[in-house]
Amino acid sequence: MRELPEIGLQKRFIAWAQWLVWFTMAGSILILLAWQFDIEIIKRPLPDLAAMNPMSALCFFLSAISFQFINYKKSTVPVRRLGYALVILVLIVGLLKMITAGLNTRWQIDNWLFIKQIETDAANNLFVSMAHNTALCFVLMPLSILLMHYRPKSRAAYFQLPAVLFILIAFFSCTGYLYHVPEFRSSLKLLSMAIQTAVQFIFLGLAILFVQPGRGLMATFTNNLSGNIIARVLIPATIIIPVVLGFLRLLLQWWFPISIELGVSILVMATIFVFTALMWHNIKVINTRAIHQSKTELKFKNLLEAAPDAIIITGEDGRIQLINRQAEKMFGYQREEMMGRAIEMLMPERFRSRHPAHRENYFTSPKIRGMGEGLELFGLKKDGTEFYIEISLSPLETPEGTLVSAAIRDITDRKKEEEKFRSLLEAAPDAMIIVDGNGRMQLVNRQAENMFGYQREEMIGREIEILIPERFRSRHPGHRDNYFTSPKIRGMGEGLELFGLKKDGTEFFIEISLSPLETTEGLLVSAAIRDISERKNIEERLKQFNKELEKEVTLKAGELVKNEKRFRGMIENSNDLVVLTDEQFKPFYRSPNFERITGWTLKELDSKDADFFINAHDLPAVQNLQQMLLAHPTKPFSVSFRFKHKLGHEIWMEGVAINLLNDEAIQGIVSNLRDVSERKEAEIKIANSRRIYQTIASNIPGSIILLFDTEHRYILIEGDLMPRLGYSKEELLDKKASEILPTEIYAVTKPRLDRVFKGEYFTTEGRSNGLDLHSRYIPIRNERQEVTLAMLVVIDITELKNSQRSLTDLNANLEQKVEERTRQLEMVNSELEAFTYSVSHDLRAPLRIIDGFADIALTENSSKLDADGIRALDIIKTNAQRMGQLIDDLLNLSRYNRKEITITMVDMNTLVQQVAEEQQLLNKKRITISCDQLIPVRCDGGLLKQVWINLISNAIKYSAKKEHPQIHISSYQNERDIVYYIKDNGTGFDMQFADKLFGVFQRLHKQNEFEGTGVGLALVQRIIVRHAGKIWAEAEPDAGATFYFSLPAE
Amino acid sequence: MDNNEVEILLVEDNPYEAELAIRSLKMNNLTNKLKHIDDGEEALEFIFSTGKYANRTTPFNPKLILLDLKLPKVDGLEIIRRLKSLESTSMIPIVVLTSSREEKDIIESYKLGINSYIVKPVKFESFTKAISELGLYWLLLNQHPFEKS
Repeated sequence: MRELPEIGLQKRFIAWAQWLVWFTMAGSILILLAWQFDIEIIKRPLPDLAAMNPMSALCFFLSAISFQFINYKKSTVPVRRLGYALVILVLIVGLLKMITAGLNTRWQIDNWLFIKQIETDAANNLFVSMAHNTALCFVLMPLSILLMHYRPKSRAAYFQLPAVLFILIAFFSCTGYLYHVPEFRSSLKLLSMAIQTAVQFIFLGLAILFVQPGRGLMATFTNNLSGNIIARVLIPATIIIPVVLGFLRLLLQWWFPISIELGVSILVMATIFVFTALMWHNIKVINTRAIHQSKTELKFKNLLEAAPDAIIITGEDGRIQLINRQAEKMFGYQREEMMGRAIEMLMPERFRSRHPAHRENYFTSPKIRGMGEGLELFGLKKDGTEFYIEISLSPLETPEGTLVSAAIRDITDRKKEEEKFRSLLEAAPDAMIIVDGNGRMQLVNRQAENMFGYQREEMIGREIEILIPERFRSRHPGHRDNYFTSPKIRGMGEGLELFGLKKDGTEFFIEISLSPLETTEGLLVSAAIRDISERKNIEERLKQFNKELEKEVTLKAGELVKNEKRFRGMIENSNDLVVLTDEQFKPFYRSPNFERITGWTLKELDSKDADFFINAHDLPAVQNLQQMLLAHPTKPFSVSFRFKHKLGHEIWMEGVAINLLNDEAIQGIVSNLRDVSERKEAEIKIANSRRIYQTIASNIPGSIILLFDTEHRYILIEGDLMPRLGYSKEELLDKKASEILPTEIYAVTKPRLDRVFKGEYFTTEGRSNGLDLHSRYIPIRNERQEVTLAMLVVIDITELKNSQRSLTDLNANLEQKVEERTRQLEMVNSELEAFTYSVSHDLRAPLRIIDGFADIALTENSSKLDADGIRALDIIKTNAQRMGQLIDDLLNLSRYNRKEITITMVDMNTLVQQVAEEQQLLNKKRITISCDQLIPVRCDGGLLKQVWINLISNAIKYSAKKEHPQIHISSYQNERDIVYYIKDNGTGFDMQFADKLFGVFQRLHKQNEFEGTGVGLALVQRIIVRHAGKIWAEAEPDAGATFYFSLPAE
Repeated sequence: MDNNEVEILLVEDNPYEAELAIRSLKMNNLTNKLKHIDDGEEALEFIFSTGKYANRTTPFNPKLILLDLKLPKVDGLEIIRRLKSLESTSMIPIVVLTSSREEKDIIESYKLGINSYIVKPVKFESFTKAISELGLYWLLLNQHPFEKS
């Protein structure tokens, strides 16, 4: 068995190394921070013992970083170099300390950082300097880091020596602290490494060892042999158990007063016991392993013998260590003759010298190599014969080192087959190419080389597509894949014309046959390729020749055919039917288009008599014609009859028949017929529609419809109006208007007809024979838009005219009447005006005189008057004045009635405000008039002002007697109107008299209660009514009144 | 009274109306130089110093004409038209003193160039007040163009 590393364990060691380094780094940073912030517990965990020097902390930090830089797998060269530089810095610090300590100089490297704190501590007699052993460790540790990657040929791991050394030094310090060694406080003070320092040295030291677990000392732990297993348990135990037991022994001493002798004997006893137990356990483990291994070996041997191949196992030195029976047989040696001898004895002379080198190569990177991979190999039998072999190799890890097991197979038979196949291939007349599933050429023969112009080596392994012209290449892999999914034999010439591409770029015609080859390496396709360029050339020339020949033949044949076709087409495709009959009128030839036109086959036509096909109505005429034909040979007769179509309907036949019985070439009666159904039908339709129009035209009451041709000839006359105009249809029809009409009438008619023929459409009206006539002239155009006919439609409109005339008379009458009335009205109006004028002027004057002289009587003759006289004069005065007022009001009313209304948009707010202010001024008592925002309206502002004057003054008048008179004005809008209202809290009135409110001189209150003439509201109503508005009021006696008026919103 | 010294010419056909007007003016002592004429034709003769008044020599008086519109023979509007059409008489202030408050009359009068239009109130107190105020205004307050002051 061979010593092999336990990979998992090694990986674990490497991981531990990482953790240890991180701890060290974190610890050193923590201590530096503690120095910075003066945290005693971290600087000095054991009071009055040594603290860790800040320089030491820095050194740890640098070492840890350099460790990572150097060992990190992805570190670049500059990073590694930086790592080495940092560790050298640490080494310099260690050396400097050792030198300065040895020389005992005043300047010490460790006093360089945090000098103040260090001095303070030193003054307190606390130890802070870097201990001497620490300094030594700082020399050893960098050394080991520097040497870590030094790999001498001897494979010695030199770096482990300084590492172990400084771990031990640190361990000693730890143990010292554990055992409370008093010398650390006195004689060995200079060697008192701080506890944190010691722990960090141990961590970093272990990390250095662990990170390369397979080297030197570490291999002892991490390999897989029994010894290693024991080492893994015993070495750590040997280190830790005595320390623990020693500590327990001291603990016993500190707690109980026992003698040194008892203590030592207990320690020895415990040591013996623990180690014996450990040994015993280990022995058991190793035994179990040994039993398991021997079982495995046996199994292996049996397997070896049972293998179908010859198996030879050799060591690293190439000597045969094990063979099976098949190997003996294969090479013809006895087992004893082969064992221990070099493997080269089994190979031909010519390969022997090179083989040891191959062997060594294999051992440096042993891996499994399958059968048949690589070169052709030969074996050499004892009798000197060589034979083809195939070898698969696999490394065997054993405790005695790596062995190689070689499984050897004799492949002579297969090789022979291959040879045979190859020679067959070479002998084939065609180029042969064998292609694998990826389209790579596996095998080509000489013919293929010649055909494509490539060397065999240039073709093997390359894709077949190099042999195909560029333009087909992209599609070929698809074809290939298709073939491989459903492979079948495809013979030469099946399928397409193919092209090959030579190395020199020339293309050539090829033919390919394909056949699939099932092999152990999977499906291959063998393609036999034949150059058919020559054949193609001949074919091509032949084709060309054929083509020319054909062309010539076609040309000549074409002319013949054309002539015949022309002739035949003339008869068969024309619509003319040709029938030849004998003198009994039995047809002996019918042109084939009979079938197309009549629907009957020629056979069906022959099978029946003419009577069957020809309409019964036309038969007499046809029979008559037959007589005529017989009577007059060579004279053509026209013929027309209805012929029964197979589908049941009839077709009109029309044509010419001629008796040519005496003509030698024909000897028959020839009928040349044509299907004229369409024309006939059209004729019938026209006749029908003509009849319809005629009927319509002649039946329109009170009208005539006339048609004139360009010569003004009557060509149509219809309608019942004609006789009433003194003409008859008969005397006019087909006559020219110029001939038949009286000159003076034609003089009128001619220019009109000329206008129509120029394309004009117009109407005229006139009287003739006591009739009112409406004439419409209509140009009628042919398909070329030329006016060929003039239509004249004359309608009797006498009645219409009569009623129109009476209507006009009526209108004139009416207008006259209106005028008259207006005049009368105007007269009345002006009379009224004169009246009001005189009222204004003449009625007022006497009143003034009455009042004036009554006044004069009162003022100038008062002394002569008694009380009754004065009263009488007063009454005269009062009534005169009242009458004056009445006249004024009446005049006002009439004036506003007559005044013209000018509508503008009026801002009611301004208007009402103005009026309200004026009215308030006129009144002595202060009256509140509140006013909402009023809607503007279109009205006559002047008149509306009068409305508001009257309404507001009214409201003031009737509410002035109240203690708190209040008047409110507002407005609202409904659908059509804007409504304004004025509300007061005055006397109000009884609603039963509301209808009297707006009458002239109507008053609801007595004169001595409220003055007034009873005209104001009447005036308001007039104005509102003239605006198409309404006025109304709501009131209650003693509770106030509201007057509303509405004006149209538009 | 000398016709040449007339300051107020009152043209009024109704004698009672005239009396009332004169009485009202008298209250303010404005009647000293007042001439009352009761028909239109005569009024024109007076102003233009023709006919009956041909011997009148003063061209510029009267200082004020109080004119009724409804007059026999020649009506008030005609008189105004005649006076205002001549430069020499166009500057005599004319106050129409009438019972008519017809808009037509008012507008026509003003168009012809009258100076004032007074509707005589029916109530005598108001009438008196109006007449005396206008007399005071036109004779005493108003500056006449040819008056030496």
